[in-house]
Amino acid sequence: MERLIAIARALASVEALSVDEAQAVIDELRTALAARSLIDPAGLFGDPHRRWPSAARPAQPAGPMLAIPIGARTRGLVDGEPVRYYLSSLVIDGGDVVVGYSARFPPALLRDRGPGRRSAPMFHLRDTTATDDRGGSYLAGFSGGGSDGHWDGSLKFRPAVPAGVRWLDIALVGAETVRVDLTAAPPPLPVTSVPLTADSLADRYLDQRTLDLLRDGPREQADDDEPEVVAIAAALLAAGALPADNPALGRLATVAAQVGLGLPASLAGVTPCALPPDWLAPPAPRDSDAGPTGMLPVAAVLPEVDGARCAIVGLQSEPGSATLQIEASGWPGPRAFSLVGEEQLRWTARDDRGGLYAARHLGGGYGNGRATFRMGLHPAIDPRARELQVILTGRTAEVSVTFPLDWQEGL
Amino acid sequence: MTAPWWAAFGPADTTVRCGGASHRVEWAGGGLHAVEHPDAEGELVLAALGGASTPCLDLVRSWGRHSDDLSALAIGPRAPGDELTLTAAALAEIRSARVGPGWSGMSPGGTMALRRAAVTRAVTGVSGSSSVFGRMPGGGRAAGRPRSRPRMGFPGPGNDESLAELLELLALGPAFQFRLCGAVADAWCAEGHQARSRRAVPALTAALAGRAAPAVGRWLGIDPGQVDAGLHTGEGWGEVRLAPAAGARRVHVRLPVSWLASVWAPGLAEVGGRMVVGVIDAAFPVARVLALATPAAAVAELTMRHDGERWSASA
Repeated sequence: MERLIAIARALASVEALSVDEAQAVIDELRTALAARSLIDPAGLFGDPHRRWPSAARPAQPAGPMLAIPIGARTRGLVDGEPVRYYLSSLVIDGGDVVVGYSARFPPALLRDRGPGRRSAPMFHLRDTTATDDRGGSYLAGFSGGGSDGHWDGSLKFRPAVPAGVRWLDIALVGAETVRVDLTAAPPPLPVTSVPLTADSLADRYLDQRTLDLLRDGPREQADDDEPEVVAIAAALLAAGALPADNPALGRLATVAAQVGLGLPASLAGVTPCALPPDWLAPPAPRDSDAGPTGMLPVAAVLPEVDGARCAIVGLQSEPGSATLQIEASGWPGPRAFSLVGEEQLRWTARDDRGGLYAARHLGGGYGNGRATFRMGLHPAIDPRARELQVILTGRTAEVSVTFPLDWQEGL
Repeated sequence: MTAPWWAAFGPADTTVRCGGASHRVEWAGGGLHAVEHPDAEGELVLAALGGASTPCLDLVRSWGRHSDDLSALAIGPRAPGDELTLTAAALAEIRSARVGPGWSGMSPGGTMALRRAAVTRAVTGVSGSSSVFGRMPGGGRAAGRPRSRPRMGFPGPGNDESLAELLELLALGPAFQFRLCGAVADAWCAEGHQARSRRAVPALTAALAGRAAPAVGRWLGIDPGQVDAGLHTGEGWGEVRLAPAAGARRVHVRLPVSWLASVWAPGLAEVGGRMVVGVIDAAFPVARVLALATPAAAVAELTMRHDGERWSASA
C-alpha cells in the first residue's frame, strides 16, 4: 500500500494524474483490500484524507509580507519558577503580526498541578499581550510544538495591527517586555527566483529522489521490494511522464550503480549519464552530532512561488538537528497535505561549503491559506558553514534566500 | 454477438431482511428484482415522493445506480476464487459506528454526509439521484443498451453513501458481484462513452488487465505477471500472442471491454484448456464462443454448456 501511495504521489506531483484521480486509485485499492478483510475495514468511511476536495487557495493578503528580526532573549518567573524565552522574528502580512518564539520551562512547572490547574506550562503563552505606540493593545494566540519544557512556535496577535504603528511592546507572561521596532528596514538578504517549466516537473521530481538516494543511500527494504525511487522511476517511465532517454533517468542509473543498487528490467534500457557538479560537492557530514548550538532570527522573505509567499522566521540549530520556522500565506490548504498532495512545494538547503540538506515537515498549523510550520533540516548543519541558502521549489519557480549563520546563544 | 451481454448468465438469488421478514432478491435478465415487492416500480415512485423505502427496494435502486460505477470493477472480484469477505452485517456495524457521537462528526463530507443521508432516507425514503428511475431495470433503460451518462466512480465529498451502497450490493455474494461487474463493463462498451471520463480508459484497462492476466495465467500455466494485458479498441475480438522477452515467457493480450461483460463475468474466460475471447451467441446454459487452444492457434468456434456448477466444452 505504501508503495502505491508513493507512486500515486509521484504521478500526481508531476501532473501525470490529478490529485483526485490518484486519490481515487488509492481509495479503491484500500476499499478492495478492506472488502477482502486484508486490512481493517473500520476506516472505510469518513477518512479525512480522501474526503476533502481540492480546495481553491484563498487570496493573498493585501500588501507585501515583511519580516523584522528580533533576536531577543528574555526571562522571568511563572508561579515562582524561572522561564526563558527567545523571540526570533516578527512577520507582518496583511495586518497579521506573527512572532516566532522559543520557550523553556523548568521541570517544576511540568508536574501535575491537580484539578483545575494548568499542568502544561506552554498554556502560559496565551497570556502574552502587546501594546503599541498609539496605545493599542493586543492579545496573542499561540501555536507550536515541543516537549519536556521545550516549546517552539509562533504568537499571532489580535486584532490586526493597523498601518503606521511604529513599535510593539511584547509582554510574555512573567518576563520583561521586548520592544520591536516595526519601522526597521528588513535585512538585505540575497534572493533568487528561477522560473521552471511544467515539462521539467517529472525530471525534477525524480532528480530530488535520486539526490536523496545519493546522499542517504538506499533505505532498508523488505526483501521483495525494490527501493521506492526505483519504483517511482519505473512508474514515471511507464506513464510516459519521462522518456527512456531522459537524463534524469540516466542520473538515477549512475547513482544506483554508485550505491550498489540494481535496476529492474523495465529500466534496463536506461543509459547512465554524468551527474551535475552540485551533486558531486562534498556533502555535509551525515549523522553528525557536531552541529552548532544556537538561534538565528532569520527574518527572510522569499519571493512568491506558485501563489505562496513565505518568511523564514528563525533557524534553531542543535548538535544533531536544525529546524526552520516558517510563516506562509497563500499556502496550499489541507488537501495539499493529504495522501498524494504534499509534494507541491519542496524545501531544501545548501551551505556555502556545498553541503546539501533535505527538509522534513515537522508539523504546523493551517487555516484560510495561512500556515505556520517547522521544517527539520537533515543532516545537522555543518559547523564550518558560514552561510545557508534555503530553497523552495514549486511548480513554476524555484526561489531561494541566503543568510549568514551568525549564531546567537541558545536558550 | 447477437444476444445481450447477460445471456450467458443463469439466474441468481439471495435473501435479505426486509420489514422483519426474509425476502428474496433475484437477478435475472440483466437486472435485480425484489421478488416480494411485485410493484417495486410503484413503491419506488411512492418512496421518491416521501413514502418509506425498504431494504429490498434500496438494493434494487442501488443496483440501478451502480451498474455503470467503475468502482465496482476496482473493488469487485478478479477471478472465481477471489472472495470478498465483507458482509452486510459487518458493513452495517462499521457504518453505525461512524455515525455515532464523536469528533469524526467534524469530517467534511464524511460522517456528516452519512448522517445527513441517513436522516434524509429515514424521512423521505430518497437516498440519491432523482434520475434513479431512468436506470431501473425494466424502467427507462432497455437491458443491454448503454446509458447516456456513465458515472465517474470517483470517491469524493459526500460519496460515503455511494460507497456504502456499492459495498452492500457486493455483500449480496459472489453471484451478484460478477453480474454487477458485467453490467458495469457493458455500460462502458458503447462507442464514445469512454471519452466522457478521463478516468474511464485507465480504469477499464486496469479492470481488464486485473482479470485477463489471471485467466491467461491459468490457461497457460504461467505467472499473471508475465501477461501484458490491455484494452483492444476497434474491430475484431482482439489479440493474444507470445511476446519476445529476455529470459521470460511473456504473453501480449488485447481484449475489448465487452470481454469482461460477456466472457469473464459469466465465468467463460478459461474453459477446458481454452481461452475464450468472445461470445457469438448465448442462451444460458449454452453459449457459442470463440476460443483459442494456444496463443499461436487460430480462433475456433466452440459450444459451451453450463452444468449448474461450471462451463465445459460441448461435443
